Amino acid sequence: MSDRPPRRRRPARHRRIALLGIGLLAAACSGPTGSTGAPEPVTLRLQVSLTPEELATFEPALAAVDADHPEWIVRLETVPQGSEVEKVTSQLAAGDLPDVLRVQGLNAQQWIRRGAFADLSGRSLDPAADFYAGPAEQFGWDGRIWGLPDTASPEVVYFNKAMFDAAGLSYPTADWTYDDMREAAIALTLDGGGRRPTDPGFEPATIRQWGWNGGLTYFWQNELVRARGGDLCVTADCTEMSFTDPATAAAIEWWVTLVRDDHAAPYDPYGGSQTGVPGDPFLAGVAAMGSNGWFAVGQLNAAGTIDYDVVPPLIGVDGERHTSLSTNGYVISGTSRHPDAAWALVQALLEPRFLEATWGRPGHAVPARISAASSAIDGSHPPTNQDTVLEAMAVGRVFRPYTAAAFAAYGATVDLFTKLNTGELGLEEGLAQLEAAANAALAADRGQ
Amino acid sequence: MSVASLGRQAATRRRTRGLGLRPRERWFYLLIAPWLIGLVVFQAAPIAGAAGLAFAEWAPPLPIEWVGTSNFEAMVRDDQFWQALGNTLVYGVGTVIPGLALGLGLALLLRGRRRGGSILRGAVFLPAVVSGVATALVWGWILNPRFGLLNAALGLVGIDGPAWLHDPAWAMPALIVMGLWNVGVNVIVYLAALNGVPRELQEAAALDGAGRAARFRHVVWPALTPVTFYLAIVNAIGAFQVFTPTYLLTSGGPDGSTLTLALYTYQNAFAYGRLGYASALAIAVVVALAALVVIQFRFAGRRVVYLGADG
Repeated sequence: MSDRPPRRRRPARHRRIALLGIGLLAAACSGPTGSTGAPEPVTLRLQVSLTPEELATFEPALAAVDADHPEWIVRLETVPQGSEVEKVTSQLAAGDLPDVLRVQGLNAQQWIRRGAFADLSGRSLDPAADFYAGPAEQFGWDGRIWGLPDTASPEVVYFNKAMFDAAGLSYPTADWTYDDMREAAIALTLDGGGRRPTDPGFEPATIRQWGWNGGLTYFWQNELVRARGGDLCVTADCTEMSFTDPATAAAIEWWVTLVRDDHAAPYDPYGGSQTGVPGDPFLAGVAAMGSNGWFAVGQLNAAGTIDYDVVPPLIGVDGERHTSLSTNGYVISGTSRHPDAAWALVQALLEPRFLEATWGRPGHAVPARISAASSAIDGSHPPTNQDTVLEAMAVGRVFRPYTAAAFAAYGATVDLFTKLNTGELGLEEGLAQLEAAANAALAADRGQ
Repeated sequence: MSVASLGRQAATRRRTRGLGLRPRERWFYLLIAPWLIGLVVFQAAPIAGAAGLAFAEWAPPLPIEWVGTSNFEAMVRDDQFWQALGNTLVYGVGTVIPGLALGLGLALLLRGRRRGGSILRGAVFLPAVVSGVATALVWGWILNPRFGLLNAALGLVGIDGPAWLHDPAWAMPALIVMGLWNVGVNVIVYLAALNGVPRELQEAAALDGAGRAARFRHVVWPALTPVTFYLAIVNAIGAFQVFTPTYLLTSGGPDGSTLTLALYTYQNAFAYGRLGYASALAIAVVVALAALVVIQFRFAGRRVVYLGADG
């Protein structure tokens, strides 16, 4: 039998662990030592979704802003491009929305209408004073302001100078109409044998160069319809659409025939099945002209392979210019614990100097503030006619509809547009199907 | 009180100390705790949450609204759901059965030692370790109707290839071919199983006059049935979860011809903001998969031969 004394070490060890735990808890709960009495800076979470190039200019500018404001510490959180909806939806579900978010305008309304963001109507920065009306619209609802745009990318007309030179055509000008564009687009379209659509033996299946970068391929291109005298949107928020109204049907037919009959624009401009390159045909160098956002300037200049210039949006049948624009802006979480500090941060991020340094001068996008927009113009690089972007900003309208069901409506209609453009669906039947599908999907948002 | 009863009381005290577990049991649970916590937090809890949400509508940050069975009723009336279910079944049938046949065939060709055999086995298995995104993008180029490798090859023999991913009739077959590209896992599993087929049984059959076909049918194939059964179930589960190629290359189109249940669930949750309906779809996928596995067990399970098992 063993003479070992009874083991008493385990209870002592438990006590030590318990004391250590209590000590750690006390340390965690107590404030920092040596406090000077100055107010503690608040930590603000700022979420953005940027390209690496945009982040390269945004981060240093933000660090400078942060350094100027000891009252806060900004914690930057980045979301991969294209994952914004998933991220914000998950954060809303988890009740973990950052204090300030930079969101895409087309995504913003679905969250605004659910009360996800703080109402900024009572804040002192008046968007009507220095913000372009088009981008600002996307952050308003129910007569109030829920966010402020920082940038926009309006569509202007790009043209490939080498293709025009080869065809012996003069370049587009600011007074071009859509009919001028059509005439040139047909002359610029070439098949594998170098034939134009008007030449005998032209083979549409072998087209290697299109005159225009794409027809009417989804409803968010409503400005193209408006330019031809129609309008897909029946109501102000576009939750009811018409494709069969005679003026609208005629406008759509104009675009469909450009693709289906004249073969001057691809029916699949972004999928790459016709061009061989997914993405925009003009940027891929297989279209002579096209309507594109201002962001394309940066891409074209970075590639440096296309000699191009721009003209303002073409003149519509009503004598006016119509163009769409995409936008981004800042919103403040409705559950932020520091709404005043968050608002101060938003103001700093919308300062003209910040917008110029971060967006305008690097050429990423056009600042949405009128006083900073001209910073996007830089005569040291193409295109030559950069002033056109300011004209486009003034007339540009955001994509409609932009409510939550718009994405479902897009999914329900995009193949019908393709069938119209290929001729698989006749115009009358196709338009009726488009109208039914779009309105069925948008019904959930009607009357909000 | 007897000595035996004192011993039983002592043993009971040892068992009931702490959480009422024996020391060995405590160690067991401690060691499996990381996995168990992961299972509960990342698998069981989300499944339970989705099961609950299937009976609600939720557009955060709005409060959850309980809607009873209306999500399931809507599902029954939803043409896109039936289209997605049909597409998923077609994809499953198109990839699982040919995938098993192809896997077995390649394993039979690649088994044994021969010059370059390991390189061939590596080449067959390689697609299985390549990122699904990279594979999808490469196939997107191969299947490009005008500039793709496949149509260029068909053109050499005078065939005008279809538009593949842009043609409703050909998009699903193209996806199935892409799915079969990952047959390497089946090949490796079959190769391992072939090595496990008792050589003495094959030799005995040969001595009895059985030819190669008869030996395969009566000796090799029965020995492979457990592995085939396992692969059939695992491949069917994988087929029901197909997402990456449809998300990246077709977005469910053209004309909904590649809309699968996983993609439709994702679209409802994150593109259309219908989390409740998406949860109902997810539950439907689980139920459909469970039904499929039960059917497999009922009809195929009986044909599985476990060597060395009694009865």
